[in-house]
Amino acid sequence: MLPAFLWQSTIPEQISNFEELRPMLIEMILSEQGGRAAIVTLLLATLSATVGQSLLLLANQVRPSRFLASLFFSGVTFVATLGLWIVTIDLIGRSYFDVRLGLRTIAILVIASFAPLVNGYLGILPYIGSCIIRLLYLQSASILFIVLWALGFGVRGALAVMGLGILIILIGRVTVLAPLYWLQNKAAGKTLQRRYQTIIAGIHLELDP
Amino acid sequence: MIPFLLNNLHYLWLLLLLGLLAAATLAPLEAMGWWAGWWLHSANAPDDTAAPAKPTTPAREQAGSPVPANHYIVFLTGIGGSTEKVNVPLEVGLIARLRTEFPDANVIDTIYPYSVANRGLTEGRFLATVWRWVLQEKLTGHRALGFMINLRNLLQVLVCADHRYGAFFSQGAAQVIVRELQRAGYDFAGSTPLTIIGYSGGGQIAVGAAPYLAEVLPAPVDVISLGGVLSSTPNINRIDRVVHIYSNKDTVQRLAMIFPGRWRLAWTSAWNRGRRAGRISAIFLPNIKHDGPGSYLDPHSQLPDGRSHLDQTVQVIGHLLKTPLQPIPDDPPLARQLHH
Repeated sequence: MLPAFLWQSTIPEQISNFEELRPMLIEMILSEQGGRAAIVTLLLATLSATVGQSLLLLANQVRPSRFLASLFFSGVTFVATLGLWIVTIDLIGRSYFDVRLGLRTIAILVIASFAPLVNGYLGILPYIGSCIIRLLYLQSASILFIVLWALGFGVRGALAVMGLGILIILIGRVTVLAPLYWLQNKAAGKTLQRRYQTIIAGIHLELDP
Repeated sequence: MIPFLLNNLHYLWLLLLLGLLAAATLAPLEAMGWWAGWWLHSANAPDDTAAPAKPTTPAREQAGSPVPANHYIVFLTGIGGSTEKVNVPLEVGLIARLRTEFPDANVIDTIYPYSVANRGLTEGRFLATVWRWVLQEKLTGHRALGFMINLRNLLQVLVCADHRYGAFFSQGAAQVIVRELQRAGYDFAGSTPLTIIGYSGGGQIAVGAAPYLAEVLPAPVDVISLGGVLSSTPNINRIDRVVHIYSNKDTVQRLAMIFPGRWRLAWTSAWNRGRRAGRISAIFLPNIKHDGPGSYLDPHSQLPDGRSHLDQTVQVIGHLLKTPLQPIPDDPPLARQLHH
């Protein structure tokens, strides 16, 4: 019920039918299928988003024998990033908004919010792929915002949580997530560049003597 | 049978859509896999067995003496191309005319630009048999089926225009051009000008590869886009000159407007900076179609002054080949731009 509502309706529709959202959220969280649906969604989104990023490994000239291991750690990093979101929202909810939902509940909601990334493999598409992946992340952020709003954070609270969440993710990349990046580099056998433009800047044509 | 097919038409459309999605998703793999060294790596290796100066100009062949060419012209086929050797009849006609009109130039027509390894569709591929069948059907008049070739090549044009994959694809295309120049006896330390003529989608491949060539060759490198579908390639301002030939009746070259860097509004795009610097210019030919009868390459359609469309195109290209390039300072290298 909830995923259909979140994915098949536009943001204005979600806002105009805002009263319907809260009971849907509660229904989904309480149902036994909520947890299973979240796990399936998490697996699919991780797989898809990782596949979407896989060509970056080719750009880094990762050898075939190291490709899958490197891709695996890329997926683990994605899951860990979601985990950081879950912990952040839980901590801020408890500390400032008196929203005590428990990690399981928040995990289900965060995973449901990032469900658009099930289509993350479309990021591979030439030319429009990078635009699609940005739109998918934007859609995920919008859904997360709506969900936080419905959970009792309010508009300002939801915005603050998201802003803070992004900040924590950025800090997390150089702290708690850094070992995962290190592991991915180890698996790849080289220091991976995370941006295509950094690799492209170093490309020059070499004439054979 | 027909009602059954009509009732299930939506499944057919869905199947086509899924097929297109799969083709588009797999499109960057050839170039990226080549760059990663996973496949096709030997294809661009220097060819030691190649003749040092393979004569391609009939007049020079007849003379029997390897007179050095005073201009090298690389022709990149449009998205209808499917083999290494240009095989689209109207394009073959243009190449023949160029060789006749410019006997001192060496015209290279052995590049399939939609593959980083110069690997045509009909040989050495998993689906080569299918592509051979499609090509045969196309040549016997089944244009709708032949459109599969155009679609496949169009996806590679998009790979070349992609800001993530484009540089890798273009690097491969530049290496293919280097290899063919090597086979044609080009002096890489000399000053013989190099002109790349890109027709239709070949125009994008030309502006993608040319900056890498311009960077390493002491000779001037220019691109002539014949109804090219050109994006605002970041390094386009490293090419000494880009001339875009277009027409009001050429609807295909207008597709380039899907690239935001081509919009006038994108004031700082590489394309617009090139235009302002005079490095990128355009020549308008009225009432010419993109391909087929009435196109730039049609030898039968006539202009009011009695010349054929092909005559006009050859004259414009000839004028450009004879016009010396004005030196324009290069844009700062991409790395420095990124740093800033």
